[in-house]
Amino acid sequence: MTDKAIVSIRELSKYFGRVAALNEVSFDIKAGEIFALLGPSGCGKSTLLRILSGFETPSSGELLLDGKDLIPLKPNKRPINMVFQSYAVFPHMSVEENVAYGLKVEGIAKAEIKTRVAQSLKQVHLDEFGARKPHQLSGGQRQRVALARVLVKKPRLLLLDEPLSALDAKLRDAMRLELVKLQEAVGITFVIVTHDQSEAMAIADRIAVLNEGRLRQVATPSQLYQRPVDAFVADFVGTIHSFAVVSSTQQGKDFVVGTQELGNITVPAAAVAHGIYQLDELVGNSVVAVRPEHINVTATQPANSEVTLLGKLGDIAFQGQHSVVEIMLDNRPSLTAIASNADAQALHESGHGSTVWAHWDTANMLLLPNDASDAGAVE
Amino acid sequence: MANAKRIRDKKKPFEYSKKWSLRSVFFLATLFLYVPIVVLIIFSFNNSRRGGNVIWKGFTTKYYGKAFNNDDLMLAFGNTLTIAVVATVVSVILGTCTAILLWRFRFPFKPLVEGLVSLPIVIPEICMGVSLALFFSAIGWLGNTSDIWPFNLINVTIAHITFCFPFAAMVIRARLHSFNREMEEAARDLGATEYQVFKDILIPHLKPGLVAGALLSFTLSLDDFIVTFFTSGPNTVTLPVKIYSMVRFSVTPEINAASTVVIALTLVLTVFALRFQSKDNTQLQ
Ligand SMILES: Nc1ncnc2c1ncn2[C@@H]1O[C@H](COP(=O)(O)OP(=O)(O)OP(=O)(O)O)[C@@H](O)[C@H]1O
Ligand SMILES: [Mg+2]
Repeated sequence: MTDKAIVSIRELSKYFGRVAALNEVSFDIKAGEIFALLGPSGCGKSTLLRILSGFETPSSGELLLDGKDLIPLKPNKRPINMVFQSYAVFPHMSVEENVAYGLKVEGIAKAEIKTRVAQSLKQVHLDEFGARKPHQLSGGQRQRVALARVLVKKPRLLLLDEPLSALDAKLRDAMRLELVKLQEAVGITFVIVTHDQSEAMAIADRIAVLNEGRLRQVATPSQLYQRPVDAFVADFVGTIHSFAVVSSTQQGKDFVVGTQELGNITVPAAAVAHGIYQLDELVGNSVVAVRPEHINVTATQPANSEVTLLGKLGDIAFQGQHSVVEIMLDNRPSLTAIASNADAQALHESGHGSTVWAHWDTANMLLLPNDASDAGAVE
Repeated sequence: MANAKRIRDKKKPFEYSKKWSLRSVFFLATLFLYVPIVVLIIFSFNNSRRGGNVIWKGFTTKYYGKAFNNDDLMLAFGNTLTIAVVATVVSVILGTCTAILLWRFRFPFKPLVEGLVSLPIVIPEICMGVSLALFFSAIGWLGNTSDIWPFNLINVTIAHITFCFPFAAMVIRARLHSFNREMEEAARDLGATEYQVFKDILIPHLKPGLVAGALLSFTLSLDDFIVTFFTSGPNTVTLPVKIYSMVRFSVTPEINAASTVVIALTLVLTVFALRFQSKDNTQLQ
């Protein structure tokens, strides 16, 4: 992977009537990476993909591929190909004909088409299936046809709209791995749309999080998880428990924020999200938050933890390598903590509803604005 | 309890066939629908000079020979086939264009256009016949448009197209509804031009609709009497009109024979089209 931008998106907006499907979105996609567009339903992911492929025209903004304006080019003239959510495999053509179609319309010689189709089918492990019709294939195989059909074109950019959503759980995991391997083998830049954060985290080199047409953050999966820009992103990429800030002061470089449940907490400067509000704006606009894996649960009062909360033991869910423990609190939604199976077993013996302590260190907490784009700072 | 009783009273699908009332309705329907046709076919082989004769006088195929040697009848038959073929081809092309226009584009007065297209389906045929006759006589095309075959059939063919193409358009439009627009976008994305999408993706999808539309047009044109009666001239008689005029003199087994040939022809076409479509149904949408 190089750091060269292959696609540059600058203040791109798309309005459907008065609805902004995309609102001044700007970011770069780097050559050779797997880039994921992540966000809840209706946030504009598909719209962005359709603008890239040429099926929608942006209302305003710039779109560059290798530094050249892409917007005037018709979909069939763009060196960009797409795997559709429904795969859109042509039902009246055999697997081979499907894969060959993109080359045929390009006017490439028959002999070359034949070798390239064979090579592409091999890449997706469908070399035995060339003569079959799509209705004789499983869903997973049909998806491979859709993949082979675009790979054979050797595009600059490959777009995949929810490529795994139509597959069952087991196949999905296998395909995830395979997609990553395939991308490494062909070296084509992939843009994958998904609303499944675990999928994005597992596959992508970098992820753009969108919400309601606006870009919230572009970062690597680990950055996104450990240094989210705001509470929305933090919550979207994994479970996080947040506590509203009700007062704030500053002590040297650190912030001291007050919360209803936890009292005053000193948040180290390093744990303050970039682009946070001014100190006096924190109240009502921000939260301090902690992830389940940083919460410890014990049946006895902890000796030296910085934050402690008294609660009652709720359900314990065994998850294989670890267990998830629920801690019920009086006047707020319950917390969850990740515990080792041995610890969970010990807690289980003290019984459902027994008193437990949840505790953690403030160094593991994040001070996050509710909405970073309100704070006027993204990236 | 009441509930349980109702469940017990419920009949399985096939039990209905045991009800005598339903059986007799079925029997009567079959009788009136098919017996006349069967009788017609049987008596085309009857060795009797009168076709209306219901007394079996022995087997013969001589009336088929007679029918084939009857120049007037053969001319009418040729006219009918020519008109039907041309009307079918034109109707399917026009119908496809109309269906795609109505499916794909938005334009002013679209509902009006949609209504106008299906108007010939609901207008009584007698009115269509009269209006077409008036129209052709106004432009001087009634009866004889030309002395050279098949150009003399132009007006009848045009008349047939007017009532065939709305049916073709309707059937093709229904098929268009099941078209997944992502197929079109996928083809565009792979580099196809609009025309290539039409030729390689849309037309293959429409094929069952095109066949159904063609079959419908062909049979409608083949047996049309009223509109043809009003628009044809002495040299442009079609088979239904010819048979009608022959029946008015006397019913001969020749007529039975000619009708049997027409029935056989439509049967063969229908079977052909059905086989073609069932092969296509294996496609996934
Ligand atoms: N052709 C259209 N006409 C009008 N509104 C549209 C159109 N396409 C999308 N929208 C609107 O734009 C917004 C973004 O839609 P988009 O399809 O990009 O969402 P998405 O992120 O792909 O969601 P999902 O995960 O459900 O597929 C939605 O509010 C949607 O209703
Ligand atoms: Mg979508």
